[in-house]
Amino acid sequence: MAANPLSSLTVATSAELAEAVFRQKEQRRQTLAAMPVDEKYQRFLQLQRMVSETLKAAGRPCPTVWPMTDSKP
Amino acid sequence: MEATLRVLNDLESRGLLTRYAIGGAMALLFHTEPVATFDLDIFCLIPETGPLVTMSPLYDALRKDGHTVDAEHVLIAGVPVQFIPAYNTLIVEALHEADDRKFGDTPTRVLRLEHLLAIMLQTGRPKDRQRAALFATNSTFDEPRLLDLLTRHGLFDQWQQIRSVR
Repeated sequence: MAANPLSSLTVATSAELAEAVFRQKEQRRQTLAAMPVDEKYQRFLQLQRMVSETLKAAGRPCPTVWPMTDSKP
Repeated sequence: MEATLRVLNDLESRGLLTRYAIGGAMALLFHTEPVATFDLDIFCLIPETGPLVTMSPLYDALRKDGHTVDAEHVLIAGVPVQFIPAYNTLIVEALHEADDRKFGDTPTRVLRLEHLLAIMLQTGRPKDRQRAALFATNSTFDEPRLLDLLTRHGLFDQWQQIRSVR
């Protein structure tokens, strides 16, 4: 896993730090958007499982998670 | 999902669907970052056999092929699919202009990002407005094309509202 560039960042104010976090998040979103569809689909399946686990932990009904079997085109 | 798409292609080749395209959150995956969803929204044109439109032949065939119909979904190869018949001119246009794409080795169709944005604005649920605002900021779309279709479908004001809260 790549080192988090924010972990060593030192700036003058909390607002600047928050700004850096938001920039990093935005960059992360752009990186995700630019991935090939099959790779994004893998991330999507992971996301589905995370959401499902969270719902289960909260005692809420769990929707059907999609099978991993044909997820590597 | 590839197995699911093969079933959808088969339904189209058998004439049970006139034309289909992936919509909703899964369509966004083809254009931008992944977002969570638990169902596959399939926008479709249904063959018209008389004065009434019915999805019965489609659902009957799916049941006969061993797929489980559960409330508004049909479970196809493990994926809950929601068939949404084209209910207005925007959806019909979106279906006709959908992109031909491939998922793995399987050909499919995906609604264009401009149409997805317009449908989100038209539907207007809080989650649609939220997604529209997000993708309006971060996605690469054909702006003249989007403005043209928003104007034609009376959605320009909704778009201006989304843009103003960016």
